[in-house]
Amino acid sequence: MTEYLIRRILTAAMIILAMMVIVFFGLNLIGDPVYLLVDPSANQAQIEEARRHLGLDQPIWTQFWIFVSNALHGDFGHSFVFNRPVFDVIMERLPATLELAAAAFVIALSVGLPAGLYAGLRPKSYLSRLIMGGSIFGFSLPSFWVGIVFILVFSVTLGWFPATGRGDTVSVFGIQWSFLTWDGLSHLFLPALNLSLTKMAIITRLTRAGTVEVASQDYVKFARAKGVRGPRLYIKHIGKNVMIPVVTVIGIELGHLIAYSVVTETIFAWPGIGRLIITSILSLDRPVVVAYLMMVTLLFVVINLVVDLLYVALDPRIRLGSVQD
Amino acid sequence: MTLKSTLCCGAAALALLAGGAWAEDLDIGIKAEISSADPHVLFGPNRNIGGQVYEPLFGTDNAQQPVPGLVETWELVEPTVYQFHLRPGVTFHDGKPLTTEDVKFSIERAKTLKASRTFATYLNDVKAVEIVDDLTFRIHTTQPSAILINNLTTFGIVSSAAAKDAAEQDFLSGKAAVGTGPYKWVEWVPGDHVTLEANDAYWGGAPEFEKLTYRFIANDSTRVAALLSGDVDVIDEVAPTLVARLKSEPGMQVFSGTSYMLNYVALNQHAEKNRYVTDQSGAPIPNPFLDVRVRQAVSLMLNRELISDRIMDGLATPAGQFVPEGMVGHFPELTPPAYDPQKARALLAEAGYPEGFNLTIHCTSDRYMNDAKVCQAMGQLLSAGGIKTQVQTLPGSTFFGRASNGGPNGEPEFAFFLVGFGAANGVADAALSALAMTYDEEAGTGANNRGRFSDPEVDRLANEAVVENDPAKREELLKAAETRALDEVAIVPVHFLSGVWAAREGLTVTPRTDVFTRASNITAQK
Repeated sequence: MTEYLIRRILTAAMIILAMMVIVFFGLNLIGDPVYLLVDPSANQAQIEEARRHLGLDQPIWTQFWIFVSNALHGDFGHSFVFNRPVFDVIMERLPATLELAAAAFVIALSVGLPAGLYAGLRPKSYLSRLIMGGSIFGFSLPSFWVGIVFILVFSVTLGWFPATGRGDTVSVFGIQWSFLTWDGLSHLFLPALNLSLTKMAIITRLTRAGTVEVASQDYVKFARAKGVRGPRLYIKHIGKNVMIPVVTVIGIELGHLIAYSVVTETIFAWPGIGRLIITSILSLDRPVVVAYLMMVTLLFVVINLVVDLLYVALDPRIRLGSVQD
Repeated sequence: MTLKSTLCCGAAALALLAGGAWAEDLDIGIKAEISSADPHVLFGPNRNIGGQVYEPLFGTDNAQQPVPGLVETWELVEPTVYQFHLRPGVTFHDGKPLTTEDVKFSIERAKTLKASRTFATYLNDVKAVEIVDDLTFRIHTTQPSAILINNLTTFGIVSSAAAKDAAEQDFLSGKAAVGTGPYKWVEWVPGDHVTLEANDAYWGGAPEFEKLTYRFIANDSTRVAALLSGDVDVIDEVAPTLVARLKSEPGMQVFSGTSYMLNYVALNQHAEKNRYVTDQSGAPIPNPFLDVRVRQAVSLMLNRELISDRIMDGLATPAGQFVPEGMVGHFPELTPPAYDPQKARALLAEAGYPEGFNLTIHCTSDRYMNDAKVCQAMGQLLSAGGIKTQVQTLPGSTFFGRASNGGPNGEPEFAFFLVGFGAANGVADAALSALAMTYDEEAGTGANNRGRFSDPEVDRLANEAVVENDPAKREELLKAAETRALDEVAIVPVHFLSGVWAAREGLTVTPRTDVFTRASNITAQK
């Protein structure tokens, strides 16, 4: 177990380093951020001054070295655009994204798991067919389109929910959360639902497939024969075994929810990191992009680790580590 | 509705009686977010919002022309010494009276701030600020500066006490956010909104709206939806495709007016050969744009009326010069060249290209209103005129680097490309200097002259215009400089983009050329 963890951490460090190199030099190939930043009236001396200010007058290798040595001290530099520490810029927007992702995750799970379980247990019923048909829409409709339709129907036409923004927030431990106020919740619902749809569909289909397979296993038949019925059968005997493949996918999907909520955040003007990253890429704000992607890489590494540990909890036959004594 | 309007008018009457402000809030949905809370970081959205907190020395009218603001009167002492008299009785939001100390501090701060976007270019010719007394100060310039007053409209005055050694964080938190403007800084939640609150002690009278909330909604459709659903009262930068939808909606109004943003074509006038200009077989040919007749020919091929009407849905004004109507340096005589394909062909033939040539043109795809569509239209117009054209559109992040120094030896890369220009100080001198004067690092001219047009006559006239303190003589020089630059086709002006706003019923937006959306250009109909 310890050996396993050490190996995972080393691999993670390598992945993060590789990612850093690729993004750092890759962004440099796209273009020159100075011309995107300066005013069109700026003269040559001003443009050079801006370049010096951003440290872009140094050779690229020197820039990289400065970046790496600062990063090792926990300093990711200043955003080119915001002229503030990158860490602050990302951290002040992260709670909004985490909140949105968590809400979407809860919606996806609380609809997807029961729906999938039901469809798997009663594959021939009309409701099951409806669920499976609906799930196709869930992952095939583009989310920007669904988002706009949600806004048009629920905000513009019906007026039930606000169209954009985060609404009133409450400060807990110095971080602003919107799910604690009624206004905040009403702002959260549409974007969270929009973000959850694809995940919901995937979870439904996976759960159904797993349930169909597990339900025909001998141990389920045996349990039925013993007289196990109702929730005990569905949750303990079927549910737990269905969960193993589902957990892997859920883990990765959670990562996607946090890292790639770009579309939903843009459509609903949600002040999270998804919007930050897309505008940072467009303005070649290298420090923000590199720091963000390092964070995302770390996030996926952690999620994968948690998924592995969950396997062990769900299936005692699985052992972590390379060599068994 | 009747009840609501009765209520509103009752409130108006009360407000008038009390001489106080409207107890009404205004929510504004804007496309571009501010990049900084520091008023001396130059960026359009920062100036839009920050300008209401930190007033500049001179205000601007809707065409960016200076009007008295913190400075009431000024006079010329010597050709390079300008004396200003501050308005007496102006106080900062913290109650401290405005003095020349604050002015000196602000000008020096704006000129020397360590940041990548500063006002230093606009303050280039300011040598020193001399305090005469509490309300009188002098600016000494390196040379006579006819545009000094225009430059002083661009940046805000901060409190020398509150903003001493202030960094970005201090303005963001509100600690240093002390100005004299009609609104006070409340908060900026990055990615979400900025809130301002009325300064009832404002020297110009308490503002009309009690609270301003600027919501940053980048997506064009969402911004319109936010207006339709009542989340916001006013939106800016309405996309042309959504204008018709909004106009058909009861209770919604659309406002538009010409802006300072010129979209123009730059032509490569420095390279002997350029890989985007070839003969029929694809081999590069000697650069045809070095010949003024070819430059005139492409200008005549661009059917500006057609582009404005059909591609821009009327939300652009065909351009034949550097600045739109209302600004210093606009001359009605400089009309956009009329579409004339026959004459263009004749000019091409005269220049030795009876069969035309092959050309690749470049444009941004995400920077200006309909930039990619305009690019395609230009490609077709050029092809119809005999120049076989391929169109390449690029995201701004790739485009500007390549357009500026992507070619051999760090020179501009493209042959024919569409760019935009608009200057914060609202004078044609800025455009002449950046776009038409010779690229000269020492003199600081031609920084955006990516076509590298160079003409000693234009340089001389523009240099003389900017140091001419006599308005009549200056106008003559400006006109001569612009006429010469346009005759020689330094750039090919295409159109001035329009600023487009939409508002709910009961609000009127007066378009500004700087496309700002401020409380001062939004009024509630009574």
